[in-house]
Amino acid sequence: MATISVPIGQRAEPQRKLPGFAEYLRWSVDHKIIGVQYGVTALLFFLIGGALALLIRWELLTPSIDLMADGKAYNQLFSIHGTVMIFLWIIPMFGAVANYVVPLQLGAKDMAFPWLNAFAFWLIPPAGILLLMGYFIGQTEAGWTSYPPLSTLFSDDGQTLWAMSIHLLGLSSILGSINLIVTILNMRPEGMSIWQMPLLCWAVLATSLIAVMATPFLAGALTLLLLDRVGGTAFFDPSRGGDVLLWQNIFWFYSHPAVYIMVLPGMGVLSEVLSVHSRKPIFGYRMIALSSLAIALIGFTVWAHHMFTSLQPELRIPFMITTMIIAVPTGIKIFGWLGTIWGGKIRFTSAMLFSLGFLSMFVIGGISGVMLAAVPFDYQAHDTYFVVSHFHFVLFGGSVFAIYSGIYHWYPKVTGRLLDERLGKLHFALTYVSFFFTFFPMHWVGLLGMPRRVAVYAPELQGWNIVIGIASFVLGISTFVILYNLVWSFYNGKVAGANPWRALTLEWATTSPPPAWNFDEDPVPFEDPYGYGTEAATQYLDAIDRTFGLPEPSPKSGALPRLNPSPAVGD
Amino acid sequence: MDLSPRRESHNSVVPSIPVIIFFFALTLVGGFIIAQATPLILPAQASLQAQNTDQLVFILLLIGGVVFCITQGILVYAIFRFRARANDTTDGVPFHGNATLEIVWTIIPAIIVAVLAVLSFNVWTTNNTPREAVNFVNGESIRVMSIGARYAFAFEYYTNEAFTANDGTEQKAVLRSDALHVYAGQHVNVEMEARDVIHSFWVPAFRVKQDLIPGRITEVRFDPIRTAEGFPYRFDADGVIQTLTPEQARLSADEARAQGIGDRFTIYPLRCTELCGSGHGAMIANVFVHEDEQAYLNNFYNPTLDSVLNPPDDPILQGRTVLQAGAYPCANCHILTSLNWNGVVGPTLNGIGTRAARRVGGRNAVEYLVESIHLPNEYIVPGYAAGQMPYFGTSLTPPPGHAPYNFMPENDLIGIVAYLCIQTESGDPTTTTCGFEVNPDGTSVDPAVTREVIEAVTATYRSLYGQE
Repeated sequence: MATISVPIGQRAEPQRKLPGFAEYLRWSVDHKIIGVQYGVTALLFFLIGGALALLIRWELLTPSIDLMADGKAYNQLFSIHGTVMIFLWIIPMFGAVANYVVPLQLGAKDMAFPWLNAFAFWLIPPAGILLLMGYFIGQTEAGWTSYPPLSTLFSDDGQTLWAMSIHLLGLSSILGSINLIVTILNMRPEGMSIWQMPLLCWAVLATSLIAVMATPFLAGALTLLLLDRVGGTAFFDPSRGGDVLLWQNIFWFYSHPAVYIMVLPGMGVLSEVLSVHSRKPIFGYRMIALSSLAIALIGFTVWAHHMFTSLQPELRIPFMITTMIIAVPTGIKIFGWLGTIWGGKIRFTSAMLFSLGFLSMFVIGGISGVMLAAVPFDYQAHDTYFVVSHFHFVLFGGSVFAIYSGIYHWYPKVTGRLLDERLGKLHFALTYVSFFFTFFPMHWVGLLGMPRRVAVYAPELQGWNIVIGIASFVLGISTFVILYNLVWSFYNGKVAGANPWRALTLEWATTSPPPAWNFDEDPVPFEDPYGYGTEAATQYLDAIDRTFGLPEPSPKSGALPRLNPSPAVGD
Repeated sequence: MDLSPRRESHNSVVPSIPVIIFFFALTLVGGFIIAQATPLILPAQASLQAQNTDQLVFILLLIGGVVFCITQGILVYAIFRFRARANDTTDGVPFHGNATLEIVWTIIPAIIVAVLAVLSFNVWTTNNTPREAVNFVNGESIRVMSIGARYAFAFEYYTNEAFTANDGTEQKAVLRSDALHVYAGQHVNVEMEARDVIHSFWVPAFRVKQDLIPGRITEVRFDPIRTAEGFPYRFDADGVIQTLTPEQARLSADEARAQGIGDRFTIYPLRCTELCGSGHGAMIANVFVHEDEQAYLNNFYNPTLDSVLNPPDDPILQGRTVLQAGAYPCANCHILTSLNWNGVVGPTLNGIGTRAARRVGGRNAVEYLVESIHLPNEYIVPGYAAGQMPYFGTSLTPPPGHAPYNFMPENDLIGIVAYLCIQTESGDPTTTTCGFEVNPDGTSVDPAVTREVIEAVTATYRSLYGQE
């Protein structure tokens, strides 16, 4: 008989209580509270950014400026939309996932530096407020990329607040990443080598390495921008010896790796969800883990593909080549995930649906990414709606779908209750279809002649813009389905139990929600975090159920049907 | 304890070789169908560069389409084939990978992107090779500049025609236009500079895009060609654009001339694609592609050159010529019905010749107009934003400490102010409040007096620019 590792633990209280509401509003060093703080803050900013996006689409229903007062007000819309979605929604939301889940997956009591963790989070609310305060003093209108001299000599003071806000968010990102790197490298439990670590931890490790290496460059660029704006310097003023391309180079040296900061954690979420919900081991664990690191590394060599129309012509080709190479490790992941669900027993939970949605939509973003890397094609597509389409396929069809998937997957762990599956499926259907019709037509709208960041466009493109607009309003409405679900299920959802998905990673080897220090006794990790389909795994999962108990069937609908019912309960 | 797979064996989920071959053949067909969309998603193909680029787009769509079909095909098939049946509580087949397969899907994408890189490099090289005889006009190359300033493009053609300027020096004539004029078959090379922020030069029909960068001269090359639609426009006797029938548009140049509809052209939009401020979306210019060099000369080059070599005496007429040529980016922000301007970023200029005198206390009409061009932020019309209008100065570079500005020769300034003076509210130019007499037809009673009245004001700014 082979050795079976089982988590050792006292049978805990069947339903543990969450900390009081007030705990979430004040300084706490508990990574679980901080994770929720990250998540709720990010969701609030998601709503703001989404509202701005709908105003953009409303304006674009007609080819002339009519909703907004003037072009300046319109420019402020997409500038704040982009900044909020990137720096205050996707990055902090993955901060939420990493903060909450990573220490649990490692069987740790908390992050390596709990105080630093709290500090990193509390930089975010003031930064967000600072950004929105810009509306009172002339909001930034230079886009989230803020190219000088538009952002230096020709912008109102909101631009200064923008730079200060991003400075704070960058600092938060660096501090959070240092914490995660130290936690992941040092706090794994006995019996979990780095090659037995869940792939979300691998993805977060790669992400954090990028953030620590790249974000200081953003800080440098922002410092120069602030000095030009308020310190009388001329780093970006060509009439006084400065160079406007300096900003583009430093900014994209951060902001291209930042694209991977925004998508690698999502890929980590996908690796968890696809394996658990198709009841099958991950296909090619090492390749998926290492491709995260490869993406992180190659990601530092491709920044100038954002500058194919401004860079010196002879430098464009090398960046085209590096950009095309980065498609290879991304492809490894995609095929690895397809191999994961192949031969599985796929359960179409809401979490799984969004991960499958990621797989199908992200591929489109990847294909358009390779097309954009081809310099002659990029001349046509650069700064048009084709690019808008591309990065929304990657960031919405990719990152946001992964976030949704992660919410459905881990909400039971956070709250102790499952999200309503019927609402979840409605949410998925609405989101998937309206997302596609919002962003897919943008490909040819851009190629046919519509630049991005314009409120005035050629009248013959109005038809497609109306299609896009209507789809985007449905997409906006679909967000309220999950918001309603999050609140409704918090009070009325089915009780989840410790391990509703019968997953092997350690965050499920404790009660939902977990106790103050996560585990009543040190947990013993299973030898393979994705080793589904073996007798040993079944025994391990049954042991978790025995230790923590199964939820009582609710009178209304009954508990989730159990998979792999234990043949014998005993010993 | 038995750790080996239960219930289903590894082999049961491996498809057979014929199925695999059939699947990849299907995806090839799918990719080929998707690639047929190439002409539908791209605008008219009006340059050699566009033809080369579109061949690359076809290949990109073909390969992208195959990749799309492979991944979505496997995904959809797996979702149906491997869905958990009701009450099936078992796990999937526990296999952890396949080294051969993983190597294959690393190497093949690597080869594909290598091929794409080589193909793209070839197209890029072909499209950018320097050519002989660029911007050929009248047997010689001329220099063509595109100037981006918020929120309009202006174009300058540095000809080889000498003339004697007002100050007595011998100069080469420079033609100015708010549109880019080229002809089919010309090797065009446009040099570019930005006066304020970064702009970008994009002609979708040519598949070229290049940023205009402050502090640098950048350039873009393209070779306009005749498209299947031919040339659908020509100027009628009054200089108004006349639309031809599709049959007339498709005639050869000789046939068209024989039928008396010669000197045709076609027009493509040129759009700014780098965010440059509130008027960015409306920063559009026209590219006129004339059917041949003769049409180019007749429609654009010769008449424009004539107006430069033989300028009118009257500052009002000079001002109108300068403004009509689009040498300054006024049209995209201001309304001025007499020149068909309809911008909305700035206040209307209709009736300014009446209002100017009462706008600012202590400033007469000419003083107000001159100040509004030199230092536009001194007085902001209620309801409009400060900082939108560029400064214009009459020396080439701003004095130390002065905000950056666009160069406007004093003679141009005098002409523009004179022309604005006759834009009265009643529409009757004789009621101007500028202090010089104007005929009912909008010309100066005495051009010398008009010039003298305005120059008295513009001269006071010379000290600001260190000219005195």
